[in-house]
Amino acid sequence: MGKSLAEYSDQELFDCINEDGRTAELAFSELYGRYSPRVYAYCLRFLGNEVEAQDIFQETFIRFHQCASQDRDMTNMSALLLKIARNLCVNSKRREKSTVTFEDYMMTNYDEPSDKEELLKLIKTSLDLLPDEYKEMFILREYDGLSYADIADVTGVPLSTVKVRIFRSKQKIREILQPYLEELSKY
Amino acid sequence: MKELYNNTPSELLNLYVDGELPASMEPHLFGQLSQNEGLQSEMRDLLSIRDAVQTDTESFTPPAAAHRGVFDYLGYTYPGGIAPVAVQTVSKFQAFVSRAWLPVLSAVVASLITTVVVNNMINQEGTKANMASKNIPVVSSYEDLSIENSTKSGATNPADADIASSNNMININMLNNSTPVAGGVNNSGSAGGVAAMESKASTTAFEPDNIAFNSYISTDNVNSDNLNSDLASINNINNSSFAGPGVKASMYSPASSGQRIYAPQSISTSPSEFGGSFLPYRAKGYRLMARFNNARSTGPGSDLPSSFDSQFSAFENISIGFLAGDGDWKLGIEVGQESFAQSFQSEDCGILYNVEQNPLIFWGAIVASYENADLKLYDIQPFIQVSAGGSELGPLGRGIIGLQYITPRAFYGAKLGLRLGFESARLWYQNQNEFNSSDRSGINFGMSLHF
Repeated sequence: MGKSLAEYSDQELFDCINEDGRTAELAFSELYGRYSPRVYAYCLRFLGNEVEAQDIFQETFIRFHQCASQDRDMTNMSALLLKIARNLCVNSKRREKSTVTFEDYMMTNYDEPSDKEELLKLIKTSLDLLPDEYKEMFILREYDGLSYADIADVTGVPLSTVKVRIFRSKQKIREILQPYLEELSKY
Repeated sequence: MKELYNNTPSELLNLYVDGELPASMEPHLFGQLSQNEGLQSEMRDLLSIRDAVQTDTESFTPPAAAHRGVFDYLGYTYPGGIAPVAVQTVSKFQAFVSRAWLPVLSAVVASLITTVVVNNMINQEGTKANMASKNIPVVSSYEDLSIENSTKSGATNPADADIASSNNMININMLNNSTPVAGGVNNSGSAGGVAAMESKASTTAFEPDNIAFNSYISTDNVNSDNLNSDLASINNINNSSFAGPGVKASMYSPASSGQRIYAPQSISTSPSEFGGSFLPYRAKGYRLMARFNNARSTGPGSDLPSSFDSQFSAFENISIGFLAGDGDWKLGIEVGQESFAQSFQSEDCGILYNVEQNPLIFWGAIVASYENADLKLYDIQPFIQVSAGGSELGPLGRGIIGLQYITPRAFYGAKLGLRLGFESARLWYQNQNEFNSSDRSGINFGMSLHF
């Protein structure tokens, strides 16, 4: 009697992707369900453009599937996926500068969000003001929940550098949000 | 460029919030935190930012188009549970039609076949009874001359009297006391309408045990103009042909032999008077029935999405039936479609996984309905209906109990019936050599046409 699909480890599911037919499909679907939100969050927040983020998101999982077809060991699934996404995002950034779409602008200006929603919108705006190397650290830490070691693995930078960049990214965001956070702390 | 990290209270706080601070350094941080208001404020800010980020559902929800793009590219089936389908290309109505045409067509074909078969059965069983009550003459038979025609004929039936008095009828009384018919009728060579009579009488034979009930000859092609000549011809038949060569008149003489003598009773030359397999009154007791249900799955897997929650559940759970029978019991067939929630475990290449689905299945069943007329109150009558049949997935059983109202008057030859009841159904299906079942129960409602 086997286990339920949800009980399988990432490595076991990753190996099953090389199987034929239904097994591979089920394994891929399970891994996709586990990690697609985080990958998309990274793509969307890092690129700041929904259409571009969707393209990179799809490309990430297609590349991931191709990786699985190659006989390779996989120890950290989220790191692998985010590494693929990051590489694609960085390449995309190099090709074109991200712009704020008119729709995004309208949404930002005409919504009447609650305090938390307003704070979130400010965080997104402040993220766009950060240098890419700080922005991605913040996203990988806060959105994707990666440990410092994993972030170091994904980005290929030393752990100490990760610590510093994460710290500075948060400080930068705090500085940008400071007036709002002060108002918020009064209530 | 070397980036410095000096383990300041603020840096330690960041490490602590991110879960990266070594346990040995926590007391030091807590000490600072209890005294430093700026550090406390910074901690609140960091937690607020984290809290706000966690509510960013937009970022954590890839669009359905993105899901579909990935799975389509890889040639996998798109798992609907991951995200709602963004674009529905087929309308509910189109989906219903595409699924319903087959069971509807099956129902129509099955109804026609059943109609033909049951009609033929009724015709074969009840020829005499039908003749007596419905004035359907037979091709040919013989009258027991020892019995008075008026008492045994359709005189009790006004319709018979009408028919007998029509111009096209030649009263068999004219043939009374005549020489009984023999094979010679075929050879009479009479003209006019009698010729037709002769042709129909070709199967004439003596049937001592057969007592016919009508005493007329029906010949549509005999008209009043040549009635006299027809009568003359019949007289000729009486006097000559009936006692033709090979027939000994004395053999059939009541006076001489005392035997029961039979004479031609009725001869029909009109197709409309023959058989009547598809006449409406033959269809009495037939019922065409359409019913819907709003049942939902019960038992294991009952938490699955059920058709009960669907916007058009009634149309996804539809059946059409055909029942026949004049008594309390009615039998027939029913076909339909409905969804049965399934919850079972399947194993594939060592991976055990749960399958939860709610497929729409087509089914067909034999139906028996019991409706006791004595229990009818204000045209409302209880009924019990059971059915057994099969579906795409496996055998299916169903029971319905409820009330039905049938209009007392017929409209355009049919009475309208409305029904409401409670139904319970069970589907058995097999997966990997293991039998599972799925139950449904709920409200059943429908309408019917009673012929």
